[in-house]
Amino acid sequence: MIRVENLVKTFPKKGSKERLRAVDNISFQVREGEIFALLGPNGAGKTTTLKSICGLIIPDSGEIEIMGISVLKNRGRALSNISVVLEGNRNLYWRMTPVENMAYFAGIRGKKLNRSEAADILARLGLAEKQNEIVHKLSRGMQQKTAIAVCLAAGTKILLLDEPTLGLDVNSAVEFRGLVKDLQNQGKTVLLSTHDMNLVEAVADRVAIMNDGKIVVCEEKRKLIDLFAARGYKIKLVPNGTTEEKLAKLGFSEWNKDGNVVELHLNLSSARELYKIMEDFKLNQIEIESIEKELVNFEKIFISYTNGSH
Amino acid sequence: MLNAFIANFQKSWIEFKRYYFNTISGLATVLIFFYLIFFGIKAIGGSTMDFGNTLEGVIVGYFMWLMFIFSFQGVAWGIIDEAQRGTLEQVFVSPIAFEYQMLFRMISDFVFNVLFAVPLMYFVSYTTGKQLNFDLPTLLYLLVIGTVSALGIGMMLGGIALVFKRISSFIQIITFGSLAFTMFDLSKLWYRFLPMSQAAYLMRKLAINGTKFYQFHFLDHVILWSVAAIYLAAGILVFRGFEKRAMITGTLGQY
Ligand SMILES: Nc1ncnc2c1ncn2[C@@H]1O[C@H](COP(=O)(O)OP(=O)(O)OP(=O)(O)O)[C@@H](O)[C@H]1O
Ligand SMILES: [Mg+2]
Repeated sequence: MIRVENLVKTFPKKGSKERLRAVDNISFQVREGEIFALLGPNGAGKTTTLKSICGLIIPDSGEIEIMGISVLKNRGRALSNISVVLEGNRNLYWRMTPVENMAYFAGIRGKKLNRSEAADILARLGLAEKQNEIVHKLSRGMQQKTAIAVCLAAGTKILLLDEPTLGLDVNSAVEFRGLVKDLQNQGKTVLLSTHDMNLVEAVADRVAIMNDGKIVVCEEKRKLIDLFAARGYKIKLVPNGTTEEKLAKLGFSEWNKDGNVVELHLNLSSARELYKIMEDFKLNQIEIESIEKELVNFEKIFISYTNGSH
Repeated sequence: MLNAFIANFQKSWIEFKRYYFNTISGLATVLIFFYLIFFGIKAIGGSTMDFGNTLEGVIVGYFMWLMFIFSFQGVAWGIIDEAQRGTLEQVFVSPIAFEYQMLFRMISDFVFNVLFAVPLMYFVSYTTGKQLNFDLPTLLYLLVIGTVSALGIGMMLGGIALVFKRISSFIQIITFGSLAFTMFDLSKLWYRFLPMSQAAYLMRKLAINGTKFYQFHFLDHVILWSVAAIYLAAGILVFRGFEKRAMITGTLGQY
C-alpha cells in the first residue's frame, strides 16, 4: 500500500555548514490491512517521514508510492488514497463542530459527506453527543477522536497517524488503542508514528524502529518480542562455598551475589542451551533455586536497538 | 471540484454567522474611520487637495479600498492564521491543490464582502447626503474585476508568509499604502496599473458622472482586465515558488 524507497531528507543545521540528516536513506513497505508503527525517540525523523509520504515535505531523494502511485510525480492522485492526523487536535478548526470539520475536510477532497455516514462515524467513535459542540470545548481525547473522525469521513483506505496518543491521559490512551485496532477491523491500513511503547505493543503488526534518521530494525512485532523473549533468563542459585569457583570453571564471568543468593543473567539463543547449562550445573552440584524468563517488554527492545548494541 | 467549492463556501458562511459580532464591530470601525476621513476633508475645504476631486469620489475610493484590503488580507491572514493553528497542512494534503482551495475561499469571501460593503456604501451616501449614481451591473463588474488584482496580491503575500512568517508589518504597509492609490484620482496613466486603481478610477466615473460599463473607453477595459490578469498570474507564480520552498524547508505548518 505504501512503498518508501531510499528516502533522504536533510535540513540546514543552525550555525553549521553541514546538513542535518533527518531521514537518512530509509526504505520500508506498509502492506494492505496492517498496522505499521514507526517507533523512535524524539528527533528520530518519524514526522519528517510521514510528512514526506503525504506530500507536505519534498525529500532530497528517494521514491514514495501510495498504492502504486508516486507522490512526487503524481501528488494529487496519490493523496486521494490517504488521510492524515498530524498533530491531532491542531489539525482541526477549533471554532467549528466535529460534523462541520468532517464535512469541510471531506468536501475539500471533493467528497460530499452524507448525514447518515457522518452519524455512523461519530457513533462509532463515541462522539455522537458532542457533534454540535465546537471543537474548542472538547477534551483532548475527544479532539483526537474528532481528528480520526475527519479521516474516516474522507473515506480513504490508508490512514497516517503522527503521535496519536501524545498528550492523552492514561484512560484515553487505553481507549485510543482499542480505536486504532477498530480501524484495522474496518479494513483500513494504518501507518503510525509514536514513542509510546504501550501503543506499539497493543496494536502494531509490524514495527520499524527509527533512530537518527535510520531504520535500525524492521520486523513483525511478535518476532521482535520472541527474539528477545527467547534469550533472557534469570537463574538464581543456592550457593555453597565452592559455587563461585565452579561457575568460573564452567566459563561464566559475571554474576551478582546478594547475601545468600547468586544470580545469573543469561542471554541464550535457544532453549537447548538452557538445558545444557542445567545439566552442567547438576554435574557440578550447583543447586538451582529458580529459573525465570526475564520479562521482555518493548522498552527493553527499543533501548537495546537505539543504543546501537545490535 | 464542485464539492470543494461548496465546502469552502459553507465554511465562510459558518464563520460569518458564528462570528457576526466581529463583523459588526468591524463595521463600526469601518464607519468611524470613514466619517473621520470624510468630515476631515470637508473641514479643510474639500478639493484643496486632489482627493478624488469631490466628496463623492472619497466615498467611492474608500469602499474600493475596503474591498481591496478585505480581499488581500483575507487571503494573507488566512494562510498565516492557519499555519499557526495547524490546519494549513491538513488543507494541503487534500488531493485537490491548495491553489484551488484558495480560489474557492476568495470567491466565497468576495460574496460576503460584497454583501457587506455595498449596503454600507449606500448607507454612507445616505447619511452624508451625497447622492451616488449606481448602476448595479457596472458596480459589480468593476468590483469583481478590480478585486482579482487584490487576490493576486493576497496570494503573493500568502506565499511569502509561508516562508518568512513575520510579515504582518509588511501587510499593514500595503494596507495603508493602497489607500493612496484607490482614493486619489491618479492622472498619470501608469498609476492605473497599480492594483485596484483602475477599477477605483472607473468607479468614480460611475458614481459621479453615471458612466455605465458599456460607455467606458475601450482602453479602460483593456487596462482593467490586463491589470487583473497580470496581478493574478504574478500572484499564482509567486505563491507556487514560495509553496515549493516551504515544502523543501519543511515549514508549511510550523510557525
Ligand atoms: N523544518 C525543519 N527544519 C529544520 N530541521 C528540522 C525540520 N523538521 C525537523 N527537523 C529536524 O529533523 C530531525 C527529525 O525531526 P522529526 O520531527 O522528523 O522527528 P520525530 O521523530 O518526529 O521526533 P518527535 O518525537 O520529536 O516528534 C530533528 O532533529 C528535527 O529537529
Ligand atoms: Mg514527530
